[in-house]
Amino acid sequence: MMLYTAEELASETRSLSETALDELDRGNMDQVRFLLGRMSVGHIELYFGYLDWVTRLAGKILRDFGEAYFENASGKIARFLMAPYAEGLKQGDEKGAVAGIMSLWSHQLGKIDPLGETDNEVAFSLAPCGSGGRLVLGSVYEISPDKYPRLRDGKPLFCRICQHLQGAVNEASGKTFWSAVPDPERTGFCRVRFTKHTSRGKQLFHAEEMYPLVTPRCHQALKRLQSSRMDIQDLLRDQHTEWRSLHDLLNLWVTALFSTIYEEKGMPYLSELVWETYVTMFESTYRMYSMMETRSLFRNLVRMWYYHQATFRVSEEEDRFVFHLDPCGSGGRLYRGEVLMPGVFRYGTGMLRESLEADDITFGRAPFPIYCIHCAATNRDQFEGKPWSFIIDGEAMSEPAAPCIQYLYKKEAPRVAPPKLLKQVGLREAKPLEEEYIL
Amino acid sequence: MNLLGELIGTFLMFVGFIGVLAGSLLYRMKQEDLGKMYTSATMMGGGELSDAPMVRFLTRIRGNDSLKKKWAIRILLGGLAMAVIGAWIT
Repeated sequence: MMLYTAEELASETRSLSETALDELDRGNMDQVRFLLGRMSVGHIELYFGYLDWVTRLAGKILRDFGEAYFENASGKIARFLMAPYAEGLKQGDEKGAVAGIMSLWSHQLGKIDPLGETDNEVAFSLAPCGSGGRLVLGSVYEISPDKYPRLRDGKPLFCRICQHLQGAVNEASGKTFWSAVPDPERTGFCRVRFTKHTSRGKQLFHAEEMYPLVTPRCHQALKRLQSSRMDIQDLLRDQHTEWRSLHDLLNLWVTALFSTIYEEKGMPYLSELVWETYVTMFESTYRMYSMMETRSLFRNLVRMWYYHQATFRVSEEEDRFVFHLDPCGSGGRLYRGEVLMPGVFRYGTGMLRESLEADDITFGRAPFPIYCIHCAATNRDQFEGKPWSFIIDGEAMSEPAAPCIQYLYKKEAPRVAPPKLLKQVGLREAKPLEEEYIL
Repeated sequence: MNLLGELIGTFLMFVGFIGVLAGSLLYRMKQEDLGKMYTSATMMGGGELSDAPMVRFLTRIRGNDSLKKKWAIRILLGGLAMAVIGAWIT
């Protein structure tokens, strides 16, 4: 059954920022403020999902191979990811390095208080930190120590990954530039310091430069509205791309780890890693799919794709919605070498590897962009009795220029899977929906 | 009967107090905070036509400050009435 006319579908697939711009034009300021609130946390589940996934991945390799292996792998990934950040620093651009690093933190849904700038340093308080601090405040290390283990010295795992990133920047630039130290008096709070070297004694940031550095655009827009300024179009436009650098960094971290594990531990362990850390996280998506009706699921997925940095169009079929992702914002952009810094991070260069073996988690393809294995794993999981909330056609993006295709099956649709999609993940037929998902 | 009356009265006063508190909070709440709450409440699969009563309520008052205030006053007055009835019973 078709749910939308062509016009309705076009309207439903607009981004929140486009809608907010229209409401602004109409002068509907209550609606603009409401949308600003939504947009300010538009990436919430993607960001928290990545944060949890990275920590679970690190947790599993720590548990399975020990601390020395984790330290080595995390250190290697950090050096790979931070090399471009350190490049500018080596040439003396300390202001650019501070701005680049703080742009990552400012979208972590935590508060940042500038502590001021002296002749020797620029300092901030993460109050609390939206990544490592959030995990500590959420007590995940105590609630699920098997999935979120601490290191032998008691240090939270994600905070150690952050330390590796700091160490990598400092090592590559040849100076102690970046440090983050947990506040001993307040759990989850952290003090970040950038030590000046080439710019010692110089003022790097004026007060008006510091504010946008640590304040997301939605908050800036609300501030302008409070002072009766209506010129917020520049802050609204494409707001979903604002957290892109943080999104891409997390995406690259996962891909670099997958590449390392594939090379050092082989495909069977890589498969176990993705099933144990990622597929299990989809459980909450399945539960919500069971609880929500199709239109709501569709709208939510549209928002997710925008904040997942995808460029897409949608068509509707009798039994499903088809998202033409050209490209998908994570795996697709990476396949095209567009992630974080265009042209810098590509498969086949640095640490990023394609899988050379065809497997259920590569949709039966080889070579295969290794980040995308998680989509094959969840495809199989869904065909084995879970709701069809996020099915991928694993052959669609057979080469970087092709778009990826994702399906959202309508809840009312019969559970008939195209044989091609089943074959891609090594199945002959789909199992009926498990009873626990039928509400 | 006296004990039962006190029990019911105390319960009504308690519910009334919660209503007054919720109404005042809603009255003061900004649209941007409603937006945040909406995204959080609908996170991982929710949406505008969700079955959850909380989301349905948020959908009604979103982007319409006067309606939100009307609802806040209703909840506040309802709570106040309950508290008064509770006090009278006890």
